[in-house]
Amino acid sequence: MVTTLSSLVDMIERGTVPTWLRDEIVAKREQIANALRDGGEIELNGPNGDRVSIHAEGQAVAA
Amino acid sequence: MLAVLFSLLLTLYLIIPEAIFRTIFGWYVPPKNFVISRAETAYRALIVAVLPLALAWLGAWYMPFMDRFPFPVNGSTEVLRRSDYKLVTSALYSEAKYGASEKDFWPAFTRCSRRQGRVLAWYMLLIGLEAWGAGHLAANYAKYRSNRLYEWLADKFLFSYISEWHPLLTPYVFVDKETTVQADILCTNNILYQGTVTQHFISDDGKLSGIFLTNPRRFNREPYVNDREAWGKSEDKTKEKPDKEKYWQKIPSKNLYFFADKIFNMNLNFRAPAGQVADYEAIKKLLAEAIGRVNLQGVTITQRKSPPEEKKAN
Repeated sequence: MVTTLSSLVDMIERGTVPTWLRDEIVAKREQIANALRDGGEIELNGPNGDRVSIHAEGQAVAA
Repeated sequence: MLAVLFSLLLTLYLIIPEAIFRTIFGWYVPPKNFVISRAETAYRALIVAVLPLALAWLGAWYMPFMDRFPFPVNGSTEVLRRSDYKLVTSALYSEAKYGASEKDFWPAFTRCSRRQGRVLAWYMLLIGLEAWGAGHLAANYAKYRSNRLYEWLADKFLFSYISEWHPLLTPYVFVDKETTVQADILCTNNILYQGTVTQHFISDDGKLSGIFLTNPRRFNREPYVNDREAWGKSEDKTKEKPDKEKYWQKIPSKNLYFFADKIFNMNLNFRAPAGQVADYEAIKKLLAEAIGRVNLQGVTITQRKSPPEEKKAN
């Protein structure tokens, strides 16, 4: 056995997220954290009209 | 004679239960096929056997109903049980001792056999239940994996029974089973094919033996390379760079089978269902990694993915 199921799944999952979304999340991490803390919403826009909205209902970031 | 009895007990208590476990587990998730050594067989069998065997033994000794069904032994006491086993073991070990206790041997042997039969019956039932539970847990990996205990159990125990091709070539690890696996397969004839994986086949020794792609396409590499070179040498700077997508050619076949020994390498892409940018769990995980300490309970993610452009392939 050279790997575990969880590490294999992590590898597969990482490959499913498009580069633009990964970059957006990393670049806007502060804004996302604030939006989640304040129960707000943040929109991440990718090429060709692709869009991901993250919406928090209540306090999501641990104190 | 004792060696024969030992082999028989080893088969009944370890080899057969492991085979039963593997069969029932395989109803839920394709099990891993492998050529294993005796030591590995014993190790795996022991892991599978420990809990059901302990429960079967305890039940057969102390639990009402379980201590007399099936194969009841009339008038059985702990003293009689011990003396029966002692007598049978010594008689099987030595011809002289068998001769001296021949009259008592067969009744004692019958009682021992009935007791062992009872333990075995419960043991096999519990092995079956264990395999059913493990199979159910393994089949729902994507659903339960956020539980840490479950993930540990899956890593340490379940994964050793699951074919490694199953998570790679099916949407097994995704909650949304509409996720598709797209494969780019470079064959030994140096032609690149692409399509959606629908079936795969495993040989007896656990190796991939073949794979089916639906809606297959092949890449016309030579025209692409020629056009790319011509574009590179062209002095006309307004000329557009060749679009790779145009060099994919549809193959007039719904399903195309690839023999594994003709596959040089394979690139796998997991495509989220139509309308989604990525798998929800993957986005949540990425958010947790990027933001740090975060509780994503109550966080809603909505996605919109534009429909793909019409393929311009020939």
